Amino acid sequence: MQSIWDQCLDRLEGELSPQQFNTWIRPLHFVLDNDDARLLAPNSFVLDSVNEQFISRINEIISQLDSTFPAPIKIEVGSHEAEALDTQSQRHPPVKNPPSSFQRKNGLNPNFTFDCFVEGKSNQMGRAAATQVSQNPGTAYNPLFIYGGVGLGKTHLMHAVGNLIKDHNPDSNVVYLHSERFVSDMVKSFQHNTINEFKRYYRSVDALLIDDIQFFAGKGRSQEELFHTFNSLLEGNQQIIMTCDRYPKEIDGLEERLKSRFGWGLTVTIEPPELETRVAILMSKAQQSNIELPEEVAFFIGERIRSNIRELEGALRRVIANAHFSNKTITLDFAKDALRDLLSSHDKMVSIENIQKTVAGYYKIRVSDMHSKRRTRSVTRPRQLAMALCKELTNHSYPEIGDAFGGRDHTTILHACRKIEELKEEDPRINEDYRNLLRTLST
Amino acid sequence: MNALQQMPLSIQLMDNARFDNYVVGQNETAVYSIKNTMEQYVFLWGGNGCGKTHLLQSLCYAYSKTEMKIVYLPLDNIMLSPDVFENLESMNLVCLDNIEFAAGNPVWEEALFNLYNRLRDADTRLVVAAEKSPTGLDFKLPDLASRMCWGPVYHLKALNDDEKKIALQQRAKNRGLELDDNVVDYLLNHASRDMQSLFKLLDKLDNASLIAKRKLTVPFVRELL
Repeated sequence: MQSIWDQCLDRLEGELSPQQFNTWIRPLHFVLDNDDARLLAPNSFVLDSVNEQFISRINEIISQLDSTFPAPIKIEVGSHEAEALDTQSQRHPPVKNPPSSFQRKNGLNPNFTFDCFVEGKSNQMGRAAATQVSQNPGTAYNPLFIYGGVGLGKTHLMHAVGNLIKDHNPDSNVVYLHSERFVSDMVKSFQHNTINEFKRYYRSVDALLIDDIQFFAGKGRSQEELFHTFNSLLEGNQQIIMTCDRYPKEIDGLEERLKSRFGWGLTVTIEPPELETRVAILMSKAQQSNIELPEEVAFFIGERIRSNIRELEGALRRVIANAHFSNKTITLDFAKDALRDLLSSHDKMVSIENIQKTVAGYYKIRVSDMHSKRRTRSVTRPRQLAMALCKELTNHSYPEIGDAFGGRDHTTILHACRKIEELKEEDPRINEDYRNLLRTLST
Repeated sequence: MNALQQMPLSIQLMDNARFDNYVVGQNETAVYSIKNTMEQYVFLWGGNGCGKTHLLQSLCYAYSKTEMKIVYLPLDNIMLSPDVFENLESMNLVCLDNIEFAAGNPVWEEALFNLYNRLRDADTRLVVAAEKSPTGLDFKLPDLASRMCWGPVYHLKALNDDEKKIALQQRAKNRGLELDDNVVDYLLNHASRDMQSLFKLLDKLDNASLIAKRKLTVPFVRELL
């Protein structure tokens, strides 16, 4: 037989727009124990909206369906899982708020290990440092600060350290968390008057892994707490690992004393993976999903998606999903077809014009200098760089690129590409500029 | 409120979005992917009226039939604030519609980024829809932008005229309304041809035919347009 709540849902679905119904009613969880009926809303925002707009109607329907039903129904914030746990542990009073305790599971993802971390030139240093730290936590490099662009494997590396520390010493207390969680836990513990518990907890761990530290920027009170936690852990030889999207000194809105402390241990960077590594990553991910991925397909995807590993994985997932759907084996043509719209939106994004504009902006020269015949060094170098980037990032031919640069011959483009290759090896500044531009253009 | 205005609301019930009243067109793989695979995260995009909302709501319905907890949030709804994301990892499915409204807004972007991380950790399914591709959306937070690409991305293609015809006739039939081929052809030749406008037009024609107690014929439709 349908429960009274299911019947109530049927009625509401008929009365409300699908949008209202799916947004406000479906997330509610109905709990009935003994004669106590409650609705659980995932958060107070949903709770307030339901209270304002729908609860009286809900009570009305319920009493129409069963006049003996104990009304009115109460609504509170809580979740199904919290309730289930609660009933298991011998019926505590109902949970009025989502669990406020930060002492939840350690946050480590067991899938992120060193074994499945694909090593390449771009991440060798980071990996070596991380391995050292997992073998000698608290003593080798403390703190370990890993920085680099998005989606390059910083989080993976961090989890790998945590998992390996746990492997060596299952009793050790390793905690991984995102910066946001530290901040929100702290705010909650102020609200619930448990700040001392909060402090004690974070200072008692054997290793603290904090992801995306840049999210502390501008959050003064949290920085203060992080600072003290940090000092206490360092003093106790407890390991700290942090990741960030940039070098510590470059984080705006972060206190100087924190920035300097972040640099006390070892700071390593992770660069975007080069083609071979991208291919190896794809092969490894495919293997994890039990998918046979021909190498030429991995090269095809790796050559086209350069910005970060998440996007690479997204493209692979798309190919796999198409293969599941059509029940076909993955070939080069199959992959090309599956990724057609993904890649065409990429191609659209990086046009020659876009590259010329970006490079001109970077070197503070005029876009018209890209097409002009001027031969001063301040103009030719950027122009050559732009040409090389066009070769790298678009599918245009040399003659087409030549045309787009004021009708130059295709051999000029060829020469520019070779020249930039050479300069990247010889002149670190050119290499840096090239990398920066590549990153700007392909993310 | 007069009777005319009330009409669309009472009809809403029959237009409920389900997989079986979705005209798939060229979007077979996208539909298959969200319906049958357990990808934790999927991104759907396409222009107005290509069926994004219909798909999300169909998925909500399918989930709720198996006692799963779901939430559907259209981010273009100005009543919503980022607080609505709190604790959504306790759901089984989170559908976010029109996420282009979050792009470029730092508060929403950060909230979305945090939500994404929590859902991934909790293995809660997330399906999002937007009018542009993840790379076309211009997120300011690179951390969010890269996460939006971290799963299969599907470009939903608009239906062609034949498929639109089927969709219109199917919806009309659900409402007990007869829509002859020549009438649909007339609509497709003379009205704005995205599905949203066409469905809106169908609402209007339905109302008008009820009030005038006339069948929908080409001359009658011509009068109304």
